[in-house]
Amino acid sequence: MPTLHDIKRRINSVTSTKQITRTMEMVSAAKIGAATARVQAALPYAESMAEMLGNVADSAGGTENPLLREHSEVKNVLVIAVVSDRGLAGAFNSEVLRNAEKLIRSNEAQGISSTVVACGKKAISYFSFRGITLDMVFKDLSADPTFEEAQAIALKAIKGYEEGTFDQVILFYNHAKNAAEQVLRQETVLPIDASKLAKDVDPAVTGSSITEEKDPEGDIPGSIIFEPSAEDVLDKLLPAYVNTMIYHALIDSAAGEQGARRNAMKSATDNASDMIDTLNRYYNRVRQGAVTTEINEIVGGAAALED
Amino acid sequence: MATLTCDIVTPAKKLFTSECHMVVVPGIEGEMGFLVNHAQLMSTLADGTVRVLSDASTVAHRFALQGGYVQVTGDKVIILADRALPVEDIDLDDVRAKISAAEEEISKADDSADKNLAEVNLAWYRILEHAASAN
Repeated sequence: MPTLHDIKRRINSVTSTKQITRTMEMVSAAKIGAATARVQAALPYAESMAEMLGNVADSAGGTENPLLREHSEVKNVLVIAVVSDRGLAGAFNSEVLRNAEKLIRSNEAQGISSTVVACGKKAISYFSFRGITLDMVFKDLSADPTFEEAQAIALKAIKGYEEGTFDQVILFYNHAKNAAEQVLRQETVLPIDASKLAKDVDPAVTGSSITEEKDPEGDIPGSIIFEPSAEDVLDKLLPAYVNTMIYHALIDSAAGEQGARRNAMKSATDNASDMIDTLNRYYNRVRQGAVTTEINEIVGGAAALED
Repeated sequence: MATLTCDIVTPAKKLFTSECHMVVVPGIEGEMGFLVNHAQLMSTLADGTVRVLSDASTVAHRFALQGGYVQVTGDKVIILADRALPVEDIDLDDVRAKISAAEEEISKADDSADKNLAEVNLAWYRILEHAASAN
């Protein structure tokens, strides 16, 4: 049986853990606001971009842009996994990583090789531990992704796709559905689905639009003047669209990370409280037992003297 | 008088939105000015300066921008840019310092990705310098 002192020490240890988890919870809760605001601020650009692209794709018709062309045979896939630099965020990282790995393994079984780009330290350690070589890594940015980072990834994807090094580019990330919930998203970045462009372009792009109140005749394709030409505009817009898609994934994931961490830390704090309660009860019972034993001994001793 | 709404949007945020009389943008094939009820147009932009005119002769705002597109629909001009900055916010000395820093970085960089990034940065600082000194 543990002594009173042992139990006291455990209570102290759990109490300080609880203090830490509660602090982390509050820090994440404070960061959610900023991260969500950044996602909101990026929406107008993504929406306008999507709308423009939709218009151009309509007018340009059967363009031969290499980014729209599907490769007939898929031999090499570029997998981009967007996770966090830090743990203690519940299933946030493992969800993305496990699904990315599953895809890589199943592709391997079909003879399709994969090139992996890892964003976030957790992805780096996960993949290197499993013997998957990483082609490009980004760390120390997960909390504060930059557009440049997205550009670097997009540049690589576009160049590889045009040269035929990659036949498909797939992006894994957590979408911050709201402050409490994250949903895993798997998106095919390249080839860009031309049929999807014409209508609603990016499932990530929802909410109010700055371009909503446009003239009804604005929807008639072919009535728009393009400079220099629809094809040229499209050639310029497509890479920018890929940039935007990746940047959006990065900031969305950053917002999700804070939400996931707050949830994880909240339940950790709750669990610590429960544990402290249990330990306190146990401590009191042991203390009571010790007191009873002592009284018994005194009474027993006194009775022995009387005889 | 009917006015034109001008939005300037970057990936990070909606930088500027305002009613105006005319917007002049650096189109890839030369400068273009838009008044209200302009025909629908979409164009890629050259790096340079956008001028927003509050009336026929007053330039109310100027923005330096890099990697942009413009979409005009009737009474609305939307400018998307990789980077944009109000010209009055440009600190010329700071920009010149950054230009030399970026040049040094390019000469030192051996990784092609780093070099690309530094070159894009340098181009951006040059645009800023040009925009600010023309002011």
